[in-house]
Amino acid sequence: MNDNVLISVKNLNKYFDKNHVLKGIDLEVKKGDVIAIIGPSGCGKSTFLRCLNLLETSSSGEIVFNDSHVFKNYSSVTKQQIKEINALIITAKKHGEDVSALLEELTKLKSKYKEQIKEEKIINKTVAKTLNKHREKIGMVFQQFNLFNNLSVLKNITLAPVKLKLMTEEQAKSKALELLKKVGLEDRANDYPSQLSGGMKQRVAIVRALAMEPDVMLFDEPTSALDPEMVGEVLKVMTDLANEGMTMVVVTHEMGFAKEVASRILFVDEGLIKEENSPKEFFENPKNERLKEFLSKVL
Amino acid sequence: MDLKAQLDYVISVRGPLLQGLGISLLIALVAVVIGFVIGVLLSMAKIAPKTNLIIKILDKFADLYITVIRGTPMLVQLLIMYGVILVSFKYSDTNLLVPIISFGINSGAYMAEIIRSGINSIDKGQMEAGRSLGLSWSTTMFKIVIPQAIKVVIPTIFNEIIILVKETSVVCYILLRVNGKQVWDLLGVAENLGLGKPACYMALIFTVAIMYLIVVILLTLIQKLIERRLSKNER
Repeated sequence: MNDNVLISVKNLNKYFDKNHVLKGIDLEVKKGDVIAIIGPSGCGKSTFLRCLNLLETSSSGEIVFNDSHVFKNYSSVTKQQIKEINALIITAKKHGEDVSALLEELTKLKSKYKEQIKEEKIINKTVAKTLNKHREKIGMVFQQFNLFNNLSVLKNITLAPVKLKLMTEEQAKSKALELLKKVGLEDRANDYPSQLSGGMKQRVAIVRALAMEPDVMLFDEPTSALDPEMVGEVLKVMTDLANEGMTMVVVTHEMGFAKEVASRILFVDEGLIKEENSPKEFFENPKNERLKEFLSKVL
Repeated sequence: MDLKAQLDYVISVRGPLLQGLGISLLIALVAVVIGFVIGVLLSMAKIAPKTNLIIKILDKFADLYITVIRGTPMLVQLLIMYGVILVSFKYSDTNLLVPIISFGINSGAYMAEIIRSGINSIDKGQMEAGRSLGLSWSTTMFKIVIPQAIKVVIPTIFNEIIILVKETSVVCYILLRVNGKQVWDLLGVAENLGLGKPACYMALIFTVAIMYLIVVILLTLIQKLIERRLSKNER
């Protein structure tokens, strides 16, 4: 496999009960990519992001991270096919038609199903053990910041690296202070989240994720909950991060940021990637009808 | 008997009354600790992600426990506990053990619901943030969620403690009823003194009421202190 590929997603589907939210997403994220995901609300872009670090469990498809599977499930698809064939056989029998071809198909599917289940069981077992390790390598920044309200800024940042024994208390502290300085918040280390503005909270949240030294950072609408005058300070931190070569996947409504910083932009609508292009092409020469409509509304 | 004489009598028996109060508080406070531990365990069983069979079974057990304990009167539970535990202890010196265990078990059911509602009131984002950093469910629960939940439930927990402190007073009647033995809790002491001196009975009962009132006022003060302490760090 190409060792430049960090995350590879194939045919990812997600159902919430009967609601089909993701309908087969394919995506490759290479090291150093900055991918912006835009789309109307409710189109599944946040769900997709949450599927990547398994905060949501996908329904079918596969996710490969750093060359190892973190999710693989095709058996549920095969199971559905078996159900459909069974139904076909029943109706065919009713009409007195020949069902031998269908039966042959059914046996094939059943043996396929067995093999898939076997393979997926092994993957699930490894993933159950390595899930937390996997998440250490994926930084996540939330719309609502989600800073730990009971801990100071410094403790927010050092808790995970120290608890997970990646750093000593001292190392984590100096790392945290260094990162805080970078985002202009070194004098806030001992404050509690409730004492910070939204923009500061989000910058601390970014630092908290960075302190884990992740391979990739996921941003879930990082500026959507901010007052307008605070959006800039957060986008600046993200831009600096991108310029340093961090791999990023950003769900955003900030078209300016997408245009300036992203290396690729995806337009997601109705659970599918409808268009994937370089920023220039994306904004100047959109092909998908829905995207044209969307851009005319937001630009 | 005039009021002065009654007062003098009550003051003269302050030793046994205070001792009784001590027993009452001992029963209540140990029961609160037992109840809190049971409550944390039950609420964990109910809240933990149902990933394996053991947790599923524990969850069902917690449901059953809470339903049965909350669904039956405390008095009846005490009678049953005396029937069961005293028998197995062969009438040895279980005078305090039985009420402590009974009230602890009873309180556990209420504590479980209090703690569960407190944990549920904490934003799901706190857990998600912890998990997204690679922390385990239990680390995030005990380091992040529960400390915040405790703050939310302090008033309700104290409500439960206050109820328990007062409710332990039924224990003396149960014991008279069951085997004539008595736990010398506050009301039990007053009842006994009253039997010897009927003229002062009501004065004794009023004294008991005032003593409970003072304890509850003190508990309320402690609650306020703790709340203020906890709100210092964060708002």
